[in-house]
Amino acid sequence: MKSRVLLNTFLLVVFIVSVKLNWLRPPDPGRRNIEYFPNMAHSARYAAFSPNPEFPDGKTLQQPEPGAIPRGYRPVHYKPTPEDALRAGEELQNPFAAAPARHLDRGTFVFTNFCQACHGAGVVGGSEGREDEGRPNVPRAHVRAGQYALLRNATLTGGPLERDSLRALAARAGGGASPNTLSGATGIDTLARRATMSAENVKLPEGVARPLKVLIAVGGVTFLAGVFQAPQRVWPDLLMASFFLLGLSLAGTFFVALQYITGAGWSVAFRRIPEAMAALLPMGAVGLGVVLLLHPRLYPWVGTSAVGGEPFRGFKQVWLSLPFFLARSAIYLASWIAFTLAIVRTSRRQDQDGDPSHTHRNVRLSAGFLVVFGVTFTLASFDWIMSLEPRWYSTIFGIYNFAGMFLGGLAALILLLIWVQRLAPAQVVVTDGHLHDLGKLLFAFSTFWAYIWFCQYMLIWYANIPEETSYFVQQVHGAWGAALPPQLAPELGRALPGAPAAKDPAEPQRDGESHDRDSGWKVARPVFDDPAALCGAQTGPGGLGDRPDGRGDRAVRPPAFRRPAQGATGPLERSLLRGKPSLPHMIQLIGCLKRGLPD
Amino acid sequence: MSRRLFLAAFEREEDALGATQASREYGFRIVDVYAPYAVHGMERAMRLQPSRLPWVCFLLGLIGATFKVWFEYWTTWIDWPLNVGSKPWDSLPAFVPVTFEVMVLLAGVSTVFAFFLVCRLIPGKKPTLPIAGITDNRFLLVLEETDAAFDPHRVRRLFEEFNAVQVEERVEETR
Amino acid sequence: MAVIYSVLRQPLIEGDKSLAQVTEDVCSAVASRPTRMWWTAFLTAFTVLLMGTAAVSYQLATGIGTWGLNKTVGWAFDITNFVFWIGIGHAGTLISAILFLLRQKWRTSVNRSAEAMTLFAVMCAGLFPVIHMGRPWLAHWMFPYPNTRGTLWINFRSPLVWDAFAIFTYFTISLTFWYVGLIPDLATLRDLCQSGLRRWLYGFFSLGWDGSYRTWQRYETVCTLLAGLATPLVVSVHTIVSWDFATAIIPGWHTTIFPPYFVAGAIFSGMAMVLTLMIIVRKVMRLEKYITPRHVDAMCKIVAATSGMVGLAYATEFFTAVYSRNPYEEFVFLNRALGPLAWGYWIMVTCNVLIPHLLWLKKLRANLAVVFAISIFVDIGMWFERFIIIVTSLERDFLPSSWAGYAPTAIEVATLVGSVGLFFTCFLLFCRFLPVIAIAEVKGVLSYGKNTQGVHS
Repeated sequence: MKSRVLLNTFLLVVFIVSVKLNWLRPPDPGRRNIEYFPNMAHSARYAAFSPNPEFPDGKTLQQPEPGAIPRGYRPVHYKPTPEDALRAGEELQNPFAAAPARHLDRGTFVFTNFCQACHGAGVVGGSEGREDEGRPNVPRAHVRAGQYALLRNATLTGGPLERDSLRALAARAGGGASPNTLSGATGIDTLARRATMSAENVKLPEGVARPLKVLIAVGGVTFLAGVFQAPQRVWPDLLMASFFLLGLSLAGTFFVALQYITGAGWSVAFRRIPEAMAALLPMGAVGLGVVLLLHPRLYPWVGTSAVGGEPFRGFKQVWLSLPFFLARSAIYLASWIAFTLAIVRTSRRQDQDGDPSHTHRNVRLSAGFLVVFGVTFTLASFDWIMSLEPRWYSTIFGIYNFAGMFLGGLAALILLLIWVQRLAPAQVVVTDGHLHDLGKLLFAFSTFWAYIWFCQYMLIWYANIPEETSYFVQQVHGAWGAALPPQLAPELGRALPGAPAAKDPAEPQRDGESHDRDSGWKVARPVFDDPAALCGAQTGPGGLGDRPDGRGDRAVRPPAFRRPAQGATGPLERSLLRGKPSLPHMIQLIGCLKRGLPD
Repeated sequence: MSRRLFLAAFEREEDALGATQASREYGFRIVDVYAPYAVHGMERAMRLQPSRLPWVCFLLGLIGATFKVWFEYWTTWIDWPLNVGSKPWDSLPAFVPVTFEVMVLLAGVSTVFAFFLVCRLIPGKKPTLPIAGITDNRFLLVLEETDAAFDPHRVRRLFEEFNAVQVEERVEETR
Repeated sequence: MAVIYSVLRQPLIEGDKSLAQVTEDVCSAVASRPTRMWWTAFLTAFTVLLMGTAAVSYQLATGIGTWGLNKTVGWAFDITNFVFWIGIGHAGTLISAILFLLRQKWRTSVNRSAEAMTLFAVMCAGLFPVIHMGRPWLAHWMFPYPNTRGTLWINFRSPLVWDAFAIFTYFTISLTFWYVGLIPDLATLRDLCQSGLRRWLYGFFSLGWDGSYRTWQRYETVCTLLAGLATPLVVSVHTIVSWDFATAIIPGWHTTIFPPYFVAGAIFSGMAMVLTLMIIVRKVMRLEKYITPRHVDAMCKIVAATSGMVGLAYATEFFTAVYSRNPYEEFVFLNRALGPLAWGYWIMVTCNVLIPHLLWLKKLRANLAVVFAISIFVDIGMWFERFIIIVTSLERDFLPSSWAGYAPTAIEVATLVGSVGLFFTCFLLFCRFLPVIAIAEVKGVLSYGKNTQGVHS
């Protein structure tokens, strides 16, 4: 009660005081009232002779700058007629001396770069001007590049990459721990204790090995022949193939490192496969080394620092100099190989003694690898790929290559996993759930790659600066243009929400096959941009609308759950499997074991 | 028409899950299971059909995207073309962001509305909790007596095996 | 039944809680009377909000001249604040949606608050594009509707229009996702409450939820679908925001790395804000057993990782500028480091790249005071990053004759502070009336890390 009286008194006092204050400050008719939501009907501008606090002398009207010309003043007494124009051309002198050639060159370059898009090339005496639907010299999305907008090396062709990757796969299909046998006991403990994957028993069947060896021989012979016959095709091919191989192997190491650093347990069952992929690193390095050492002239800036006009100066000259370039490449490759060796070795050592400290060590190594990888891979893609066109640059290029590399590597991982499972079904402990997860990861990275591609494309398209559009001009037009949609289709088709779930989730899905088809196309598509003439399959692994755990008893694939044998995991990781939250996967495994599948 | 219902309340998810699976195996008809949270594996135990909501999401997203792309093309190419930065009329790269956003918007909102409709979740609806504590810490399994062969004693034994804390028989009027 | 504790996996919720205990722990804060601490915080935040409202009203009445903008520097505090708040919002969606898809169970303790944080951050963010218009009362012109001006449609090719659609969609989907997640918890609260307005309100908004598993199954499907939608959405929203700059041609803005760089930066700043809020919430609301050091550890790792990505982006931009031999590009980066706003640039680098890497050390991650301090630094650093990107590129671009300086006015600073007030006001109200932890989800992970043998057969 008392507080209410106080409050009322207070409010009354405030009211009276505010009324008094308003009374004491009478309205000033010269000052405009506050107007809410003024629709710019009146602009609050200064009148010519009103005082103005913005200028030092306090006046609105200022003196003109020295050298200003009054309106109507004609400094040169010519009328705007053709006769007077001719007379002016004869009488007037250019106060500036004739420009040296390098200034004209520079001017042409700057004009092409900044002005040609709107004003056309005809003004400078270059190629013909363009009329576009009645709008002269209006830029179009696809500007024809002037002579100073250098294109990527047009002799790069899409090589038979799948052959190369299979060759690489064939060379390293193996390597692993010693086999043990399971004595037929059931239960999650036993499974966990003995669940490993033997790679020694996974041998490439002769039927597959022989054609692959033939292909290797054919490749080698073709390459040698090409060195003499068509070097401008063969060297870029080798560069691309080596980079692709390197990418696949790096993807293996990256995958392993990522799984370690996130503490993921689901991938432990098949971790040997990305580790095996990573073992390809020296091969890719050798291929790349061959190109860089034997044919560095592939890069336009080698031997001359003047590419298409202006020579490089300063930083770029130092950066794009062959010895430094080679040294950098060696550092990248060495660091990747060193980290991979360390991680894989620690992982193998854990097989012997099951010590948790190996996991911790690998987590630290993985963290270090990821940091070093980020920097070195960005620089490597700038060095090895982007400098093929030394005047072009794009800051997202490193990420773009990474996306493509990891996508291809993931797809290769899935293919290899399914393949190894079919080769040695008794040895591989991989469930539907694993493939599901890998499939979802593939889907996610597919979308990520499309997103990164679109980012780069859209920004360059939008600003339409010839310095940048040179990259896409060749890709989008001509022969390559036809190949672009099939390359993008699988990626862009995934953009629809729930698209993979369009298949009725209730029907048993043969994950292996859809993964096969899907991943096959991904692997075959090259890491960087050369479009491959493949049509993307629209199938996808289990979709986002699919419950991760609700499909256990329907789509069990018989080969997966035979007696699981040895492999990749130390006792510590096995306990990870025990603590693994995704119990339905384990339920399937135990269920199959309980069913007493044949020995 | 009335039907007889058997209710069993459990304290732990493992018991509820086990009881549901066992009921299925014995062939009892499960009316519903109530839980304070989504239990892993329950819909498998109940043999529930997967929801068709992903179809709604996909379809509406497709419709949204298609409509939006058409609308963008129509306004910028046919209805009132305006030369903005000299972009071509069919500037598909520039149309992608808005199309994507509208697709996501339509897909998401329609899925949620479909969910509310299908599950009959209406603002202000009075909830009918069979027992107290379902939203707190009790799981409830509701079986229906389907025929004369339904043996209440077997049912009770089953419930006891899974540590039911409360067993009840009810008769429900169905209209 | 034997309980096995895994060597590498620890239980998520400490203290062996039962289901009823979870309900009680979380709902007690909602059911009880607000504490003095809450009132103090709320009144402070509300006062700050009022101050911001006054500043904004004055600015709307008088015009954008009350800000320090000029012809050269057309965007400064307004868009910085916009991008800053949107970035903060992204961590909430990351935690709810992306970590949901990655099946990271630890998210269940923080996702409700994080999503609420997203909503409030998006509200704060959405304020700025509206007030920075010359005539905000015509903001409805941003959306295409048949009108008497021709029919004049909007320019679908403009990133500002993309922004309008993106923010609207993001807010709607975030709200939907948050609300759908709340329904079971509202039902729990409804059943706990005695009769009254509270019970009626909780009942109204819980839509008659009764815990039926047929509904739960569809609910899970919807959550998965929404998570799947929200993940690309969150990436696309900040991508579109970055395109506000990247589609221009001025050096420092027109660079292809902006989309992933901005998304990484958004997650970085947002996760730091989540850490700031959660460290306070867990202490004040006595939820230490739910938001454990393990949760903080995971969030710190995300902060450290995204800090690495942001640092890599800085380095790439700088390298490419020098590599490009484009004098304008080179100058922009020299200007950032050595020009008039160099002090801001070095704050940005220190707070974003140097300080967060302290979080690689496990000992520091376990020290919550240090983590709290680092999170504040990150928030500040990320604000400066947006400010530096926007203002340095604008203030000195191609033509030196157009160069101009920029200094904020009191109105702009008051608006920024007011938006912080708005954010905290909303968050405090949320803490008061709604459960800060997702009760149903936490109950679902109580058994994580504790396996009972032979259970699921």
